[in-house]
Amino acid sequence: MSVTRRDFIKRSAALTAASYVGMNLPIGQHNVAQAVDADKWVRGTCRLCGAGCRLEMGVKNGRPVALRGVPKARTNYGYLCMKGMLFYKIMQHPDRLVKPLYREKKNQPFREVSWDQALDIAAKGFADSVKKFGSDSTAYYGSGQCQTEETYIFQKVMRGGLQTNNVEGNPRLCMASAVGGYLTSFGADEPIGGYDNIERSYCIFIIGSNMAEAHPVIFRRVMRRKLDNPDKVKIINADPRISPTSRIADMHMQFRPGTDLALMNAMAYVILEEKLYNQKFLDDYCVFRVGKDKKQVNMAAFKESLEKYTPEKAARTCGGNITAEDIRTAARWFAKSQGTLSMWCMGINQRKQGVWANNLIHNLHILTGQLCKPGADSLSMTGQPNACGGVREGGGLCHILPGHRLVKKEKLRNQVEDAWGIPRGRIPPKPGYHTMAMFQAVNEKKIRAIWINCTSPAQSLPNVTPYRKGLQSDDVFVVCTDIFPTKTTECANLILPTAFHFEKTGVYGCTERRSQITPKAVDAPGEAMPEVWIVREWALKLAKELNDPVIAKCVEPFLGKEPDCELPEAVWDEYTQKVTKGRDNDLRGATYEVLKSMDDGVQWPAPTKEFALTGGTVMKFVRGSDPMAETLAKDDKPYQFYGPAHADKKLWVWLRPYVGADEEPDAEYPLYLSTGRIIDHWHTTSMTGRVPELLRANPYSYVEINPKDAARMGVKPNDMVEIESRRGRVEMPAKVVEGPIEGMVFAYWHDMHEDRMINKVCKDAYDPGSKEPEFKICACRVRRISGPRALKPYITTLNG
Amino acid sequence: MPIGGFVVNAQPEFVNEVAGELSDIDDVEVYGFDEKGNIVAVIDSESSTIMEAQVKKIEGLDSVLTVGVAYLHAEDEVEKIENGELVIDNPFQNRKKH
Amino acid sequence: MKKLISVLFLLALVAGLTACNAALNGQAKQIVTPPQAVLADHPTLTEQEKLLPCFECHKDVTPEIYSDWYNSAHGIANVKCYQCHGTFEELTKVPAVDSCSFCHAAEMEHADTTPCWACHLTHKFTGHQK
Repeated sequence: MSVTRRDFIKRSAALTAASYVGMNLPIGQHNVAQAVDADKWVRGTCRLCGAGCRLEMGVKNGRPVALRGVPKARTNYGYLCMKGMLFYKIMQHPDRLVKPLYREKKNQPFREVSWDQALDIAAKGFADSVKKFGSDSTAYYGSGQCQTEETYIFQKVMRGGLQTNNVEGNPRLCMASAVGGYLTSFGADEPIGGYDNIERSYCIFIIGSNMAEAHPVIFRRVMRRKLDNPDKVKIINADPRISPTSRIADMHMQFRPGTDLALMNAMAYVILEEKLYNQKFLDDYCVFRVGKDKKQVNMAAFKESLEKYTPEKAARTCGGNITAEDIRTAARWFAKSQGTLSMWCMGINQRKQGVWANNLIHNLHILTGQLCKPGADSLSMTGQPNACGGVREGGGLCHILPGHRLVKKEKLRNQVEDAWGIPRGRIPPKPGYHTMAMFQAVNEKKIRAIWINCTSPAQSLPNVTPYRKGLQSDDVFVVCTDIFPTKTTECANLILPTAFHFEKTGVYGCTERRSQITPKAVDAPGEAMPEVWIVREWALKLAKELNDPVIAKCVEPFLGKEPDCELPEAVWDEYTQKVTKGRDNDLRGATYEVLKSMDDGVQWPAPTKEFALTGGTVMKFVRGSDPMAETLAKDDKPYQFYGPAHADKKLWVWLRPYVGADEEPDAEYPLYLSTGRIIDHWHTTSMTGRVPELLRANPYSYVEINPKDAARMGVKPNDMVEIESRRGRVEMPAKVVEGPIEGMVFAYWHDMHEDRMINKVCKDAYDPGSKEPEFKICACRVRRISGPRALKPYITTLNG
Repeated sequence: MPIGGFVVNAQPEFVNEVAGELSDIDDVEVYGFDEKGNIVAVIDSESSTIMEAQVKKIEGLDSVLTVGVAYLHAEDEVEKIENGELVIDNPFQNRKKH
Repeated sequence: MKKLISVLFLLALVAGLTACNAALNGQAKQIVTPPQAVLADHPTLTEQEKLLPCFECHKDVTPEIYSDWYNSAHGIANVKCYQCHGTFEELTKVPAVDSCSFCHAAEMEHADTTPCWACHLTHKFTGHQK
């Protein structure tokens, strides 16, 4: 079936002509995309969500020309969503930032500066802040889209060099509650299993996730599982909003926002009442605990704590769209199936009770023994490509050092200091500001220099208006590293243009603990540079400004390395070989060489190369699957819960009462507001908004209103409505749809237009444990302001 | 050597005959046609000048209404121009009247 | 400069090839140039209408196609119209098969000589056409 190039072109010519007139040609069109005129195909990872889809980028004459899925990859098996299909188009976008830009005052226009000047300015800005206000007046705010190497080197310079733990990142806004849940229930962060369980599962419990739009390619696997086994597999979707995900569900449990804790406690009640729990699993591996002091109690006390959550009572709490019998049925399906898989995302995490909500999902799995066996897992989906990887494991949050080490433990700090070859005591013992506290500190002028990398807090923070004001103040020196102008670059003094995905080399770790490499395929436009190079050069200048050789010591191992491939590899090697050694995310086997040889990547722990080459640990804690379950075994049982957070090496079932949202509706603000994503856009649209096909598909935000509420308010489809809370107001068109439960409205949050930026309305209350804000629930009122109005999509440009 | 994908519109009742006539022209391949009179043809010729001549010839056939180009590949000619192997006169000459 | 000349040359070639037919037959103005071929059949849309998803109208004008798609794996998985047919400006009635191989590279191995929809039901893509 070999086709010459001319034949191929002729065939394309004929097919193109035929397509214009709707004619079917009886000729082979096989593998046209495969044959697309590319000089080379480079294998990497998609960066537009946390699924970790593998794809190949076609490059011709040094330009990206096409993308295709990698059929053998164990994440996506070749499938891509439209974001994945189209993202290469933004790489050559005219809006790309290509020169360092600077202004002294934030009301001035930017002017171009050289890299040397830019790095001097950055170093001086941070050094001045340290000299005048102390180390803790500086901060780094990173992203789950940074590569692991980038997060690692940034936090190394901040902690070891500048001596502050003010290292945070946007995963605090999405994953922190999942981290808290995994640590408190299982003793170790990150899921036990992974996607592999989807195809072996018989009951899939999806809660607080519209995965059909947020993780379309993983949803495809769930959908296939259901459609191929319609009678054997049960899908439960629990969500206050009926979403495209509900279409494959056997049961949609539509509860009032914030009542999911009652719902899951009621499922636990049924499991106990009907003796659906796994006594052997509980005896072997679990204890029950309660309260801040983690007091151990017995099962009877647990049972007693659930008395308030009979299915009948819970059904009333949950708001009437669920019956007691629904709760019983769901609990039975969950407990009795051969393998039950729970999947959730921001609906659970972005909550004031986010950690508790995570705990209650894990409770159901622990009680029923639905863990560590095929098809059984408690799997938190990640929103960003490297939140699970780089930020959580690489030390990207204020309280954790790389390798899942707590900042406040001296022994663990010393391990890191020794690995870096810097004096012990250099890393301060006090955790830094968590995200919301960090931007509060900017408002209060406690932080005077902040580096914001690859994310846009000026759009993505909840109750964003006051925090934007803080960032716009001339009292704080703001450096932004990014590829496009964003709402945050509007607050910057210094903008540094960075290389994009496939323009530099680095590793992403997706939802299922899988580290995957994306090598450089094309040159970055203009003067854009990889972050690892920027940090290295900045640190050297910083060392001079502050006359502190330890800062230079932090980047010493990386001197002289070529920035596109050698430098990130050196950073990765230091991180994996020296810092993850012996930790629960041991990545020593996952060298660049190994990662490059894989269709997909390596699931940690993967202590040796031989093991990494098999793909790594599919199921953590299970002997025979996880090598550390052997090396850290404490007895001869098949499962070894060796996680660092539980000294007793047990799983903990938590007694957690139902507590509602921070701000419940009242007479003044009678509706719940929740927000979420849609399939075509990602986060703040700085990337997807610049792909014409994607922008066109969802050009601006809508607010979904239940038909009953709409009738009451006199709102017709496409009418313009105002959504107002105690914090702010926006205007957007209405979609009247059987989506949100009565009494709740649901807005898409991607729009960066000032009139439609819904995060102005959201509340910035946060979980006391995980410090993750409650984006998903607040009280609002909605008012019709006019009939349909012509709206224009809006993407910010450099000068606003 | 440019390659072009064309849609030729013939009077529907004569589409069979036209398709046959097209096949007889050098460098022209017919890939398919339908009852509405659409014919998909590919021309693979020595140079763009020749291609233009062939298009003229097709336009001259009885029962042909229009000829439209849908796809054009002329990369090698572009390369030749860029290498200086091929010198093109002002490409817009003689076309001002259109 | 050479680049410019070659671009001009390409433009002129396309213009030339299409322009000659315009003159032909005087009244036959239906020139078949790329996007217009299908757009000619499609009602003109305002800029605002172009911002609506295709199915907003096609639910009503081609209900069968809509329901075939909506209830298919593509419909459930949110693979929308434009992913295969292009957006309004580059609309094609029959998509190029290369739009399938973004995702279905492996599945395409078994179909050397025929497009997917020659065997699999158009818009449903379940099972086989008779």
